[in-house]
Amino acid sequence: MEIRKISDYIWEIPATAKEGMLVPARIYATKKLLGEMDKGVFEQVTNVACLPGIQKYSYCMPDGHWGYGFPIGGVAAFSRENGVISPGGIGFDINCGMRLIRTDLTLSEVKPRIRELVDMLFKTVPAGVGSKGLVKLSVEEFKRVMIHGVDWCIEKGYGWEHDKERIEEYGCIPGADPSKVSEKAISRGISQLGTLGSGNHYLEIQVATPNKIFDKDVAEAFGIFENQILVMVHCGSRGFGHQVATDYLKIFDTAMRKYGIVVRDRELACAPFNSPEGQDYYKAMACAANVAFANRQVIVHRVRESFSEVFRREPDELGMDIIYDVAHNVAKIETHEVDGEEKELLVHRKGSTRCFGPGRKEIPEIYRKIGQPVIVGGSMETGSYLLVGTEKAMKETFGSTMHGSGRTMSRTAAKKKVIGAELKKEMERAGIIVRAVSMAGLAEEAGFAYKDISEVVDTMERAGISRKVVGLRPIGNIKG
Amino acid sequence: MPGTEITSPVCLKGIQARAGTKSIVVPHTVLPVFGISISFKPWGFHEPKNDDHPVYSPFYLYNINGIYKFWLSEQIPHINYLDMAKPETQKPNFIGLQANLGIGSGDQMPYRFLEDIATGDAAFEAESRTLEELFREAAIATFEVMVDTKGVEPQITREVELKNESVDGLLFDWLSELVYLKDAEAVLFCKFNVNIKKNDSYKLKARVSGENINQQKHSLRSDVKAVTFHMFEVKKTRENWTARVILDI
Repeated sequence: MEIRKISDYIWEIPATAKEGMLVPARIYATKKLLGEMDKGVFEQVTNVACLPGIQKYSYCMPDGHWGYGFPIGGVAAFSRENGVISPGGIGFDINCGMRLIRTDLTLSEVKPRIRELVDMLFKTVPAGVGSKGLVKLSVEEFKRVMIHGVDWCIEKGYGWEHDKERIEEYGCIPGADPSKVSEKAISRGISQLGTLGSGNHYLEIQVATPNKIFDKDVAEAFGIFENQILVMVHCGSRGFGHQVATDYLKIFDTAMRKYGIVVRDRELACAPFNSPEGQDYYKAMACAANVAFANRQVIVHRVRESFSEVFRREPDELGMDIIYDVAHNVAKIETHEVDGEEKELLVHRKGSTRCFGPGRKEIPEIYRKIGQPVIVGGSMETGSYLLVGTEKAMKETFGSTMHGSGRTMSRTAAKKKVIGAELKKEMERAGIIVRAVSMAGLAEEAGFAYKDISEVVDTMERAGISRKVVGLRPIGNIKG
Repeated sequence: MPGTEITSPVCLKGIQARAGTKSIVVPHTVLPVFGISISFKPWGFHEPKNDDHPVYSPFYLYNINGIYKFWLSEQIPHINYLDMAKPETQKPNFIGLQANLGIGSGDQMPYRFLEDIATGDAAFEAESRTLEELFREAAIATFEVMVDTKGVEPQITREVELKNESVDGLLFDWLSELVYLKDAEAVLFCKFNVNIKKNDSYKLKARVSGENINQQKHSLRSDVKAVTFHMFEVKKTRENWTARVILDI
C-alpha cells in the first residue's frame, strides 16, 4: 500500500490506494510508530475511507492499532445529510472515557496514608467481572439516567451543581431516547451504576511531579500545582453500553443491504445517519453515553467520600473539583470547516479524544480562552498526561487527538511473561500501591504490553495538535 | 489441530506408537480411568535437563466415533506429571486431563486460545465432533476468559432458547446471550447442556448452570464486553465442527 510522507508526523495513503476510497487516509505518527503499527491499521483506515459521506480524510492517531471495523485511534467525520453512522466507529464500550479530579492535597500528605486510601476506594468503587453498583435503580429511574446523564446524578446528590460544566457535553448528550434501547440492555446495565469494570479500566491516584509540569500557566488555569495529588478514572458505559452496541451491530448487519451499502468488513456495519436505523442507533448511543457520564459521576462521588473519610475533611474543603471528563468512544454532531464552509458533521472518535482549541463554544467558559483539557491514559506503570487542545487540531483533525498508548502485546502473551502477584510486588517497590480484583487481569495490564505513551503524546505535540500540560505519575491503583 | 507429530516412541501403558504417528488408536478396554503418563520429546517443548527428569506434556484425549485420539497442547511450556491410575479401573468414556486447561471428564474436545490474533481482546478456536459439543466448548472458553470455571459450582440453572437461520448466527447469539446473562444476573456459568435441532432454521435449547459471582471465592479474570464479528467463523470439516471467535474485553 502506498504511503506518502506529508510531514515528519503525517503520513497519507492516497485515495487511489484502494478501490472505493472516497478520501485519502491520514495517519499521525512518527516514522518509528508508523513502522510499529500492525497491518490491520492500514487495512481498516482505508476501509473507513470508503464509507459514504466521509469528509476530508479517514484518520488514525499515533496510538492506533486494529480494532473492529474502525482502527482504535480512528477518527472519521461524515456529512450530516448524506453520511453514515457506524457502531464500529464508536466501539462496544460507548463513551469509554477519562475523568480527572483535582485535590488540594500534596504527595507528602497522601503518601503515608496511601494504603488506607487505596483500600477504602477498593471498598467503595466496585470493580471486576459482573460487579454490582451500590446505587439501586428502578427501570424508570434508569431511563431518567439515560436522558439526563450527570444532571440526574446531581439531582440525587451524587455530585455538585458545577460539576457538569467540567464534563464534555456538560455530562449529557441531547437526543437520548430510552425507547430505542432494548429491554436486554436495560436489564444488563441496571445494577452496574458506579462500577469500574475490568480489563484496562482503572481508578488511579496520581501526583503532578514538578519536573513534569510542561506549561505552568495552563496548569495553573486547570487547577494544577506541584506535587499535587489527583485522581483519574477510566471506564465507560458498562454492560448497558456493551449491549446497546451488540444489539445495533446486529441490526445494522442486516439493514446495510437495504441501503445498498457494501463494506469490506462486517464490523464496519453502518447505515445512513438519516435512516430510521441510523437515527435509532444515535439515540440509543446517546443513552449509553449519558449512562457512562453518570457512571463516572457516581464513581467520583465515591472517590470524594473515600478521601473525606480518610482525611477527615469535607470533599469541598479538599478542593476535589473535576478538572475535566472526556469521551474517547463516541460520535458527536459538531460544526467544522470543510473547504471554507461551516458544515454540520457526525464525528466518530474511536479510541480518540476530542481536543478542541481556544474559543470553541463547547468548551466551558472557565477554560474557553485556553483550550479544552484532554486526558490521555498511559499504562498503569508509566503514568498519564493532561494536555490542551489547539487551533491547529480544529483545522487538521476535526479537533481530535489520541486517547492512550495502545497495546503491543496480546493479553495471553502478557500473562505468560509475568505473574500478577509478582507484578503487584514490583509495582509496590516502584511506589505504586495496587488493589486488583483479578491477578490475571493485572498481569495482562503490565506496562511492557503497551506502547510508550510519551512517544505517542510527543508526536501530537510536535504535530501541533495537542500540547502537554502535565505528566501524572501513579502512586495508587484500583483495577477490576 | 488434532494430532501432533510424535518424534520418539510413545509408551502408553502397553500401547506403542511409532515416531511420526499423528494419532494413537487406543482401544477403550485398556484406557486407564485417570491420567496417562508418557515420556517423549514433544514438538516445540523444552529439552529435559537429564534423563531423570523427563518433560511431560499435557494432552487431550478425545473420542471420535469410539476411537481415542490424542492431541498435544503447544500452549503450556511446563507441565505436571500425572499419576497413573490402575488400568483395571477402565471406563469406556473419554477422560479429560490437565485440569488447568479447563478440561473435565466427559465427551468433549478442546478449545484453545489464540495468542497472535487479538492484542487487546481474547480469541479462541474450538473444534468438536458435534455441533452441540462445539457450542458447549465455545461457552466454556468464553467463561474461562472471565473465571477459572473449575472453581464455579453448578448451583443456579437457566434455560436458553434461541433460533437462527444460520449456524454461525446461532453461535453468535448463543455466546452473546451468555455474556448478557453474566451481567444481567451476575452469574458465571460452568456447565452447559446443549441441544440443537435443524428444520428450516436452527433451534437451540440449552440448560446452563453456574453460580452468582463471588469475588472472594472465584478466581476472576477479565470481563467480556461482547462477542465480535471479527474473523467469526463456524465451519464443518470432514469429521468435525470448528469455530473461531474473538471476544471484546
